[in-house]
Amino acid sequence: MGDDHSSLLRNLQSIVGEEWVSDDQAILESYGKDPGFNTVLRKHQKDPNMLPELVILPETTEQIQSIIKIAKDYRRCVIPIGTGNNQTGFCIPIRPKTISVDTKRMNRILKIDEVNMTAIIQPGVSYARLQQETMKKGLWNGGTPLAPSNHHLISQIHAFYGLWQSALKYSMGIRALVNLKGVTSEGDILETGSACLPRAGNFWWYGPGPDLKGLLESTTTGSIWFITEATLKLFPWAGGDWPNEEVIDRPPLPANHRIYFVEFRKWEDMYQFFYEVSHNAIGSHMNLCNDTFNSFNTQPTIEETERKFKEGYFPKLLVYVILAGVSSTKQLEFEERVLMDIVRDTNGILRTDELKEVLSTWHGDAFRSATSMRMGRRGSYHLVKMSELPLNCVEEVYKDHMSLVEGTEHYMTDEEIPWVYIHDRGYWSLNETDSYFDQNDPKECERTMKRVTTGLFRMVTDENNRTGWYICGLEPLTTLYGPKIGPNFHLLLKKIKMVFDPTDTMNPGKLINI
Amino acid sequence: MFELEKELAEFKRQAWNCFRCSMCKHVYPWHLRSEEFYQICPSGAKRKFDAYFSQGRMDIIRAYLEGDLKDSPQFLDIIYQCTTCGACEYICSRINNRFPRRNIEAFRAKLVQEGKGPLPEHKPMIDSIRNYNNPWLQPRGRRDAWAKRLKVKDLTKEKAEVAYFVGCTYSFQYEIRKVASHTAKILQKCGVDFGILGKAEECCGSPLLRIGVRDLFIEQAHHNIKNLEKSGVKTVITSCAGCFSTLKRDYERLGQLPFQVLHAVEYLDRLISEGKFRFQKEIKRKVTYHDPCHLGRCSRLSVPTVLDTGVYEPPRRILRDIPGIELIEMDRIKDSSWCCGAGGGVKSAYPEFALWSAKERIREAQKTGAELMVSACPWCESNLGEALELEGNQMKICDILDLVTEAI
Repeated sequence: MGDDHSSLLRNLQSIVGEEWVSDDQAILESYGKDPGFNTVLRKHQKDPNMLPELVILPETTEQIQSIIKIAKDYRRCVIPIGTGNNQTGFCIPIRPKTISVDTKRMNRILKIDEVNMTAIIQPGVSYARLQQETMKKGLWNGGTPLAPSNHHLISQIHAFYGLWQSALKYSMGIRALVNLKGVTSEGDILETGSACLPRAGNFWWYGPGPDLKGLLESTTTGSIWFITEATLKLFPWAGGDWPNEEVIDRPPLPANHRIYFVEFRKWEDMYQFFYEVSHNAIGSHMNLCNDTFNSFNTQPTIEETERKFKEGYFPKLLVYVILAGVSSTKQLEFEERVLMDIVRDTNGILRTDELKEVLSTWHGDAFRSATSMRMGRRGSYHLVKMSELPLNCVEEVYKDHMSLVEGTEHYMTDEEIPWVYIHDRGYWSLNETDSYFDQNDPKECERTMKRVTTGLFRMVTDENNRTGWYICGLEPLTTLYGPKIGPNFHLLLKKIKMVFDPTDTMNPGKLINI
Repeated sequence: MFELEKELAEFKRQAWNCFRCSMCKHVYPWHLRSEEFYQICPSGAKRKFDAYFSQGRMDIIRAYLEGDLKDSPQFLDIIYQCTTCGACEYICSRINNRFPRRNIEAFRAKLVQEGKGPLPEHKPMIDSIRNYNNPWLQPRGRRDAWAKRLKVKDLTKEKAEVAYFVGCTYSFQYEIRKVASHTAKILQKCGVDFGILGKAEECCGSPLLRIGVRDLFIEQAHHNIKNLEKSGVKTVITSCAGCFSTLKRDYERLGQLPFQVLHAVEYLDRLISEGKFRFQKEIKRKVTYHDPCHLGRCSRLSVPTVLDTGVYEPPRRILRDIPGIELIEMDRIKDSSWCCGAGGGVKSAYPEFALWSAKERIREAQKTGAELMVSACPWCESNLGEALELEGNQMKICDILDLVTEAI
């Protein structure tokens, strides 16, 4: 640690109090590892830069403002931490002299505006907490990611754009963000959108000048500011109070909702089904949940998971659809009739009756995800492709994607079906392929990394690849872009970062040149 | 079996593979009832640094086991501020099939082996168990004083079908000793043929196991198993949640037990359903029930399934069965119950923190509008009772068997 460490520590303690700053090594250890395989390798190699110099827990926007000013004075960089579920190196220091800023004390829902259907929250508020309070008022935030809903909502949305299981009807979480408030690298407090206009109200992301929200959100360039508050759009909720009485792994479905499981034998039938459901404007959720994931998600032990998978218990192409009776029960009946017609017309096989019980974890997970992290039981690495594409290219992109991980040891299968989320009534997004390795074994970790890195570069530089971009566990290659986005796109991003954060104080970027 | 090296090797593997899902930090999402009561880990909720949650402890212990942790004044605090309430274990075993509570107990055993643990504040309790077979610095001869006028069989001299394992706290702590006599009276009223080990009963060893003092725990356990086996009983019941989970779950690790272990509420619930017990009097009170960790999630043998749920329904059925009782649930219940703060050696080493946790629970209980908190564990009753008294709170706490006795 540098000579100025003690003075930095004292200055930070004077902002938040001694109790909320620590440079104790044990405390720092818990901010210096995640399951991304490059992070794991660095840990095996005992890279000292993985541990922050200090961890601090502020409580207010003003305290963050002071922390950033001090960090700048002392030439330190700052990494914000949400729930602590960073999986791809977003929040792991890559440089010495890093201050990790943990937002757990900024944990309040500041306002729920029932009239304008918005909520203002701090960064330490989770999906589940916001849902619980808004559902009591007949509202909700519109969804949950396929990541635990105890995750802090603002950071999760910014990391993965809030790709929700209910995106068919409610779009993605990023679109539900109306306004943001935060601190820039200069230490200024900035508000975006209509909130910054006197008496305009806090409901719309356009304000004076360019769309600042769009420019400032997402972590693909590393952070360029520190978000301390967000306003979110809320939607009418049909389900009443959350049905939190649960028989283990058999949660009830929220009121006024119905779930259906439909199997397809051919990809093209499935696209047609997606298309028809989307274009007939029925349903709130529609997603392809693969056999691997269903085996993980629904089974209490890894042994049961493997057994279910090996016996082919779950169909490869199994789609779930949820209907929401927001206006009335008649709406549910009507939508069900339409859905059954579409199932018949697209050669779907209705499997609800046989599978409903065993797949009932979706009753909870589709609204408030909990069991999804079971996929991490074996230690896994994720390669997530986020591409907003038309429905008819799912299979093609899936095949491209599989070639990327060709030769990689798959835990259960060489032919893993991707996860597909349908959003905005007619597009799909997210294609995740998971590979499983024991993080305790550095050699296995290195082998997996080598194979995936090779494939990834091949994929990203392939001009014919329809994929938009990738998020993967290859820190510092947190995000990769394909060539069609523009050969110098990464340079543009770097320029944006330099304009907003010339000293690279805010979570230094992990972007690489392709 | 207790095989420390094997346990630690497995722990290290689990710590490396921690997926950082952060589920150990909050109430299981499907169980969340209010945005206010979303925390589940007392030490994490109080200190907020990741290190004080199970996920952070995984990182720290991994670093320690690999020789990477050089200088950390807070290290022992972090390890010993865990109340071993098992809230994280409920979630992590359910999601990841991993057992952080067992791991922390094993790691504390390693610290004890290396002479770094337990904490100095634990020493009087350990010495007391070593010298007097109870943690309360009480003479052995007083153990069965509560039973003097009750004509209870002495299992070292007479045969009975059922053993009542009283536990040290109900035997020696005057303020709550009545629970032992209430249990005995209820069993007598139902005509159950039961007895006690009397002075031959020794501390179950739970406080030792939680802080890592395994050798003495194993001695205590062997002694109790031998005496219970010798008595020939097939059923052992206890009204102490701590003894219950230790006898049921931890003794099993020393070999298959020749008797079944039940908590008194399970046994009573069974008697009620068989029509062998009926309440006579009405008690008009609004009550809320505090799930003791050791009666619920800590008594589970493996991952949570419908077949191994923890004891949650029997006390609730009993309360609902008492005429006039209105049971109002708190926000955090059953597997997502908030720990009173007294477990895992925390009450002796960090009394202020234990009371903070209790006050959090009281705040939650008061939101229900109940006038009385009911529980089934002497540690919860003592710690919550102390916090209520310190606050000058009007709310009261009692054991469920006290209420049962009042209603007969």
